[in-house]
Amino acid sequence: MRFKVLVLSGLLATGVGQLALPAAELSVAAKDQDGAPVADLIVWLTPLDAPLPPPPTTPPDAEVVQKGEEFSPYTLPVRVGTRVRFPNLDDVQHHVYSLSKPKKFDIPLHGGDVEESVVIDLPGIVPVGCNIHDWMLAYVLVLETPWFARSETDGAARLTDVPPGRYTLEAWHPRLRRNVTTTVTLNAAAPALAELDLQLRPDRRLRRAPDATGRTY
Amino acid sequence: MNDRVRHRRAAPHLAGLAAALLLFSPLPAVGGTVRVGFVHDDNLSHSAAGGVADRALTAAWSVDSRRVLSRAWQLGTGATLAADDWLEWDGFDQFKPELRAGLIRKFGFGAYAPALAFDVSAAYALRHYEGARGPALAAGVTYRQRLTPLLAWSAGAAWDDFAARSDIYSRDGHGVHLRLDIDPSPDWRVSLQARRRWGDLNGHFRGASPLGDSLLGPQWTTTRFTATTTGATGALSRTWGRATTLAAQFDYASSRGAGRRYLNRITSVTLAHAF
Repeated sequence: MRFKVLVLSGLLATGVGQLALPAAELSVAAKDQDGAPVADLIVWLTPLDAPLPPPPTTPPDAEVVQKGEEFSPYTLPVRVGTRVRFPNLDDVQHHVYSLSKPKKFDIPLHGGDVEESVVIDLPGIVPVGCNIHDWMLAYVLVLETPWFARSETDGAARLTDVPPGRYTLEAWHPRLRRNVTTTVTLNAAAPALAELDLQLRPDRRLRRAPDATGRTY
Repeated sequence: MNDRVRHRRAAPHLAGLAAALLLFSPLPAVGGTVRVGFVHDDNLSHSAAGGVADRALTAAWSVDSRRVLSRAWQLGTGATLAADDWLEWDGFDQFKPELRAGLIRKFGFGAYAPALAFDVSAAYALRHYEGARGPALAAGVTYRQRLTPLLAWSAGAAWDDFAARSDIYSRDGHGVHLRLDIDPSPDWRVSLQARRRWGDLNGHFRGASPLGDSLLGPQWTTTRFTATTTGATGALSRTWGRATTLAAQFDYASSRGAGRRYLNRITSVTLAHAF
């Protein structure tokens, strides 16, 4: 991974007292080894000189929908303690499950009239699948920090409302070969731009297209 | 009542059962698939010597549904209309409506959990010659498991019975198969299959006889004999998006029985599109 911060301002170390200052902003542009933009990359900031803010008193909500027999979004960053809902927008049943360490759960056999949710209270990666449609796959990345974003199809992600200061910038993608970690310094005077050149593994998602040589159920 | 008559009577009942399951199960996930293809069979006549080769255009339209019965069980039902149009030997042209049903038992969660599938199907083969028409029943059980994103395998046993109006064109048998699917990427798949079948086969040899041959013509004679068929199939397929697959397949089969042996080398290209 090659990392470059094009605009950095405020080289002074920041302290807790600066949390009340106007917010800073970091834009991330991610591309892979072929120069293609990387969608669904999750980036997050962890402060180096200040503690993480306490979790909100009311658990935040997030959503992974099932539509067209696919999960959307493919990757979802959430903060620890978030209630993640899994609404089924299809007219067929799904059986959502995860066997991950941070959260083992399954929501059996639900149609559109059932909207189950789970609270994920440990950090880590939570792969989510459907026990009926094997190709359906999503990842919930549970973070301790409130400053995170997911890249869009153009490979761009924006972290806004970040207190100025020094941070560790990290990135994760299901196909990322190596973890991405670097230090950035942000201030309110000018937004920073981080360009990430990533090495991605081949896509290993299961195929969904019909078998041309036989029948399927 | 002989076996043939019993099978002819069983076919409508099986078809009715499949249709009822299709209609009355809740929350069906119905999907349709169209398959069109080109086939070359180097020994369409199943002859030990002097066989005829031919090419066919094939088309099939399938509707399949999957329903969830419980956390472990799923029910599949489907119907297919399939047609084969042989370019030279029209006697082998076929139109075949089929109904089928299958129960899938999954042992655990996810794409890597093993599953056992039980399938039954009832079809009716229509051909130009009335004597070669009749119901076709099949049943099978398959154990399958995906080991990694790259590799999946399955093994199974199957039984088939075709009860033509004229017994000389009938056949029944049973067999086993082992299949390996290798997915180097979500777009590409290499499939390898080995199989063995024991049972009746229909063959043709050159030479007029009082029995004649209504599929190939008066200079041919049809035979029905018991044989063991050993076959292997290799297929390479490429997908585009979620719905389209193009596959090239080569099948080699050797059938031996009743003092004769014949080979079949079948090459096919099939385009499938789900909607």
